[in-house]
Amino acid sequence: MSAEAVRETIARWQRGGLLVAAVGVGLCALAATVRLDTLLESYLLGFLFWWMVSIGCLGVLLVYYLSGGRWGLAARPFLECGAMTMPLAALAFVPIALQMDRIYPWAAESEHTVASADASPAEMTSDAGHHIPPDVQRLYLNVEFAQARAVGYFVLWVLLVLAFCLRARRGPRRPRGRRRLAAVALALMILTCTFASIDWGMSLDPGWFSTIYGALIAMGGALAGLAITTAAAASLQSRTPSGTQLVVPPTLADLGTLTMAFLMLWAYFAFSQFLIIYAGNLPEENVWYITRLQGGWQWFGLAAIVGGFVVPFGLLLSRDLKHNPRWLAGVALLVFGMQFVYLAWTILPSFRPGEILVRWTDVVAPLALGGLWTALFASLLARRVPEPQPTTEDS
Amino acid sequence: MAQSGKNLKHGSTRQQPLVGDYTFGSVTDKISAIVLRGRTPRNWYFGFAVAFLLVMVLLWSVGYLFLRGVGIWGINMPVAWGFAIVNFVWWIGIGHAGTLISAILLLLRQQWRTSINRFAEAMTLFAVACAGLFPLLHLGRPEYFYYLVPYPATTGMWPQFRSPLMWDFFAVATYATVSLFFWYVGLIPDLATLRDRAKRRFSRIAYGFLAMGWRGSARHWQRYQRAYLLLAGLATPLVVSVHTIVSLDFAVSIIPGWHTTVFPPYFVAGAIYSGFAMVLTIAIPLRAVYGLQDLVTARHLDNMAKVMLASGLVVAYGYLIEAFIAWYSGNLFERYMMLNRAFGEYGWCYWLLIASNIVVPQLLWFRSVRHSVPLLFVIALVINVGMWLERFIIVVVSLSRDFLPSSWGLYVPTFWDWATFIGTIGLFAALLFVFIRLLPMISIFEMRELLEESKGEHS
Amino acid sequence: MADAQLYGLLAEFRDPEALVDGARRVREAGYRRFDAFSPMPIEGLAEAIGFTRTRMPLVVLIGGLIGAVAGYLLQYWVSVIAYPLNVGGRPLNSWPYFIPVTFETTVLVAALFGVLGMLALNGLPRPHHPLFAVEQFAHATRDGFFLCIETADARFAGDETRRLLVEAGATEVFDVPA
Repeated sequence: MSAEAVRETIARWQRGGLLVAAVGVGLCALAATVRLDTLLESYLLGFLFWWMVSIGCLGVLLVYYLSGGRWGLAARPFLECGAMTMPLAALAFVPIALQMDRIYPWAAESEHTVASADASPAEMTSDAGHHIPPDVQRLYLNVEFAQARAVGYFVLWVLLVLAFCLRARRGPRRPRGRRRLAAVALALMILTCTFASIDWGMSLDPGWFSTIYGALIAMGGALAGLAITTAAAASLQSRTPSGTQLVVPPTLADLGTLTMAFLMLWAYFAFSQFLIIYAGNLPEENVWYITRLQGGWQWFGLAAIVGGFVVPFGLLLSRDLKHNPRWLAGVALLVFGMQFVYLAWTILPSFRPGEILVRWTDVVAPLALGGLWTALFASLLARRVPEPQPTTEDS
Repeated sequence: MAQSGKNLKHGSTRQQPLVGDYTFGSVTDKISAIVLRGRTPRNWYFGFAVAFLLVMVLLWSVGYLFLRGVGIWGINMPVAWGFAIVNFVWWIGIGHAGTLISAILLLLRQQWRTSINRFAEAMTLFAVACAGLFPLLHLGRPEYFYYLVPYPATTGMWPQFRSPLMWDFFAVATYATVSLFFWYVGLIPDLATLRDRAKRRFSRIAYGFLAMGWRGSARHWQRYQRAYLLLAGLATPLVVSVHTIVSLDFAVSIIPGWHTTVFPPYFVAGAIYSGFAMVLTIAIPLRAVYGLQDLVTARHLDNMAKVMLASGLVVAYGYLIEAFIAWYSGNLFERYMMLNRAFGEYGWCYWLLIASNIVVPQLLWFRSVRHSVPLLFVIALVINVGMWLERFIIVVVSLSRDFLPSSWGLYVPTFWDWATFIGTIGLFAALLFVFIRLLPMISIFEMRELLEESKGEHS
Repeated sequence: MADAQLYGLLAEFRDPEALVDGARRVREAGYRRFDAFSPMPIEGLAEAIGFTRTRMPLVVLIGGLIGAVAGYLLQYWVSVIAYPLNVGGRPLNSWPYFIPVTFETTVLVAALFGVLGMLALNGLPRPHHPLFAVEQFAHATRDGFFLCIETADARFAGDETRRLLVEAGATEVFDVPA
């Protein structure tokens, strides 16, 4: 039976995820006893990435509820399962919340020590060290408030997941009411996602600021979420026996086109930030890119541009490729993986400026979290994935 | 579009892209008659006369500008960019909705675009024409505008490609060209319809010339549709790029309030916002005067209101994040810029802007507001004003406070600033009047297509 | 009227479905040099007359590539070779600055190729065509659905072709003078 082939594939994802997670968690435990600080850096990278994927799935789902469209009917179960991993992200945040002073410079330095870097604007602008504006630290960047904000974000996101992934499925709500609710939810989500990315990512370099940062992270999350959805849908489709189908080919191509559109938007955001900072060349801003464009980190950036944009964009231009599930899944996975590379390029140099330094935990910790994410995703998907239908002529 | 299909079956007329019983023939006749047969309404003459008067004001103020130079405007150091740049950005922003409606909605297979895309595209062209005037007038020596073109000059000089103003030249030129193509390609089959329906010899020859011998061959249609889709695929990122480059005119500098990374998407959203507001401002009177309520339906207005609300929220996000990061950065100049915007000499403009761009449009959350045509018209007008104020604040307020307090200054627009601005509104309106008199303001062949599709869905 | 003076036979059909059906029948009968005419694009009509793949995407892609390469090279040549200027210490070939214009030229040339390519492949502008001589054909841009078999077709045989058209569902058949 065709349904079994699909179920078997999903079960394999679940087993694979659990295996990777088990090995990864074991290795991380080992690393924690050796160098906790390094592990926390890698762990933050992993957390941020998988959180972005979850929130991205939720965001794309809300966009579907707003706009409708053929693509969304097929993508919906995958997006829902991706978004429903949100509690995992909340749990994964706990170690970070408890160890903020080991990760974030603003949490490590007490207000007293930074207060010396007061008043004059020349001193406020950051060069090598972190100069945190004292009032910002007092009112915003402090451990208690950051923890409270994080609780607030996660409560909201989990509520949104409950409302749109569980309730919306059960109760036949009027579409118009749901649309309005989705609009409000999307607005709230983008806002909280922006502040979360400032709290968890941008503040790694206090004193550095970029107004597009939150939108860029949200866009990257949406791209990663859509890419994993496309990859999962396409690879399940490629495993259904001939004569049956899970996702009709034009819908699959729609998902490919949408991935390409998101890819273009993401590249546009990322390039805008770079071009404006490059052109302005102000010391308080350009230090962020200078750190990331020397000492070997530049190769990371180049890989993210070529592998994360140029190659997949060129491939997705082809109509034939978008109609081939196997190829489409491959390209979507490439986009997904390169989002991780890009994120690593934005996060890791904050900890290790000057020279490229990739620790083994940088791979293992995100993989461990990814294994857990995949296992949860697959177990949720097993219950939601639709039955493959016999191929009809006019589809 | 399984969804819209389902909506159609559940059958409130509100959901349908067009209302009433039409056949291929009657829908063709209805739209083409506006151009070919109908008596030109008295309102048309009246409107055109007013617009034409304003065009004369434009010629007068431009003539005086050429005679006396840019000193007749209120600009001076430090505010060297005044109304000319404000108006340029405003007009080019308005010019974004047309191509966007056409291109993105075509790619998204949104059928409701069909009734509004033609005149929205025309609006784009005319708005870009108005926008294009201002940088040229602002040059001071407009006769040297060709210095922007890279050509082997005897002076041996070449343009500076590291300047965003050069990018702007390429962006606006490309945008004008591609929008014209897009509009014209969309018109070809309708021009053929007019050619075959025209009674007078002159009309037949003129429309026939423009239709280029279109005869509706299936092979032609096939290539035509592919080409049109590809053009839409090109036009969509182009629209985004044009206003991005306009935003870079500001963001690439280091002036507080200009140099901020969120500018590109925030400007694009603002452009969509003001563009849709302008489409509504035009569509509402048009459908009333020409009795097009069953082609431009309440559903169209409702959808446009929703797009306005969404893009308005993105703009609000831009304001919010700008203010927050100004504080978060701890940078003295950034923080001062923000405070000065809200509480400085031009503070009242800022609060007016917040009221008209953020507060008032929240009414659009309510369905009853979206379905009240007069209210919608007023909100669209308010947004037009608000978006103009936004550009005024960005351009003028940031410039009026230089880094050194000794170089601070204010900008007060003069009579000639206003006359030129109002003159371009006249030019825009006059071009629009000529367009609705001479060309079909709704795409006829796409209406026929829509009819065929909805017939299929009903059966 | 002798065949030599004819361009072909023009048949009118009642509605889009009849036209698609008729076109399919004519093609199955072995005709190749014929074309269908309709006031709007009809899904499946191009397939029915045996015209499936257009070269438009390729034309546009080539245009885009030419535009991209030419746009970047222009800026490179101007900024590095013809008129090198130091702007704020940036390298002469400061590529981030050249992306916006490169993008614009890409879109511009691709769109030019798209529009001109479409017109060229369609053989337009073509002010006169034998079909325009048939008075009824004016309806092809309003509510008429037509199919024309050219005399140049190898299988064209006067009355037999006419009979085929009627059997295929034509409501009326007109002679198209050459």
